[in-house]
Amino acid sequence: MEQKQEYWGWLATGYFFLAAMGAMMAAVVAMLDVLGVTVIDQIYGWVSFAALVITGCGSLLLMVELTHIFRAYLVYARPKSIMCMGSYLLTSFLGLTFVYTTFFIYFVPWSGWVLVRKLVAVLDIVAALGLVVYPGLELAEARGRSFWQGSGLVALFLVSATSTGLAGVLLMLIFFELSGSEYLGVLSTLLTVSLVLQLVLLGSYLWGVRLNGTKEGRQAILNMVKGPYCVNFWGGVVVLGTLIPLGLSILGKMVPFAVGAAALVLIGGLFFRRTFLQAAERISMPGEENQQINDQQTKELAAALESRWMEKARWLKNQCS
Amino acid sequence: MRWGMLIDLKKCVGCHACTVACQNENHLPLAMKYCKVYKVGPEGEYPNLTSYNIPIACMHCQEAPCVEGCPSGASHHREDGTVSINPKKCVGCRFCLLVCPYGVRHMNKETGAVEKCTLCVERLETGEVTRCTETCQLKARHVGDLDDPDSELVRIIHKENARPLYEHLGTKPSIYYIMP
Ligand code: SF4
Ligand code: SF4
Repeated sequence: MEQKQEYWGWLATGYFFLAAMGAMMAAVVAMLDVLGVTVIDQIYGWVSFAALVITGCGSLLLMVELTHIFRAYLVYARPKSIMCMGSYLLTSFLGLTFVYTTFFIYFVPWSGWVLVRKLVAVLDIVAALGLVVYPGLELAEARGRSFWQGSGLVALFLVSATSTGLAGVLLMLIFFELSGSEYLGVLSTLLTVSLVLQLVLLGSYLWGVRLNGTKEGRQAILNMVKGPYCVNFWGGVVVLGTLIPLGLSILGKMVPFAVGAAALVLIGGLFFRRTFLQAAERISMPGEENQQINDQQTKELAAALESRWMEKARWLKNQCS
Repeated sequence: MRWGMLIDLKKCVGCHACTVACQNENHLPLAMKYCKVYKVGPEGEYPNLTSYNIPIACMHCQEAPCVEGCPSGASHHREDGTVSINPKKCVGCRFCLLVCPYGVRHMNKETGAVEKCTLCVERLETGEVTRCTETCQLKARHVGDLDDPDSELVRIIHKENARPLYEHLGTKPSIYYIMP
């Protein structure tokens, strides 16, 4: 019986995390820009550039995950597939964020075209939101993994991405020594709201799967709350990634609290994706749990037999010669 | 034309001959099995106990999540209804492994492409039966055209009320089972 989802590991986790963080960082500044918030507009270009780099690194992880990296262009071949749609979304987001970033380079001729910049910002927000919600839709395609079939998965991914995006922007605000601006407070408050929402959605998602899910869905939750992934779940997602940053952001809007909260939110975002990817067991085939030896043991046995046969072949050859 | 198979679980004794024959036909390493045979049970309460064996390989689903999800088009439906993989197009994203509810796909580490049961289409095209069907000494397997209402396969499916495995998943498999 498959105990866990073993096909997509840390590389996919890293991609989902970085893409979500980058996309929401870009979406946050693009929204502020469209709304005409000018107090912190000095960092819009930098945040957007950081979002580009972060999402770009995520895409590299995705490429490394492929066994045929030089055929990577084929991921655009079948637009009907959700993976392919994801590739188009990722490419559009990277392209739009790049264009948006160029508006902040002073010597670029179009740097003063405010209306066009805002139009690009709106398109960038749409692409960013698409990029953030599509993992939820993509995982829901796995009909045999009922843990991913809950209706709140997309919302959960969206809220978690919003938290990590806000955390990224907060860190940049502090890095650019704009911690005195009133927007640090505003962003901290938004982060607090997002974390509360995340906690509520996480709880209701798990509760929903527990009540309505199949045996495998319930088992996935047990694995998360009591089983092999409980350290990642309770330690990484709930305590480090949500409760402590929530406490820190409620405690005060001072820089050390804000930095601590933002950094922990990022760690939590990574663990959230890791745990959610790993825990989703596939529906068992009848009798699969009776398999006397698992696939890994079969491989080891096969390798041992193979080497024994080679030994025998060598021995026979020596005898004949 | 849609190739399909019927497996009679009342006849299968779990000898694994089909697994080995398939490995032989497809030159698979010992650890890779396109067709696995699981032993179910004993289940139930004494004296109403039951135990049976169930061979599981690719179900050649008509609404195959692996085909729908494959971004490169490597996994595709052939005109004869079987699901096939073009190794030259496979980028190795493993999405199909993730979405196949039956867990029957394998990543070949040497070629970097995904593999699975092909329903021996090359044999079927030349009028032979699949290698597992040929090997099964208990005649537990039948292969034929599911679109032909007069075929022996369809006749037995109706007579025995054979059903695909996990129909509720909605993948419309082309492999039917006569349950014990
Ligand atoms: S059983 Fe799995 S691999 Fe075979 S067609 Fe169905 S989804 Fe695809
Ligand atoms: S691993 Fe290959 S066959 Fe499977 S979805 Fe990716 S490209 Fe398609």
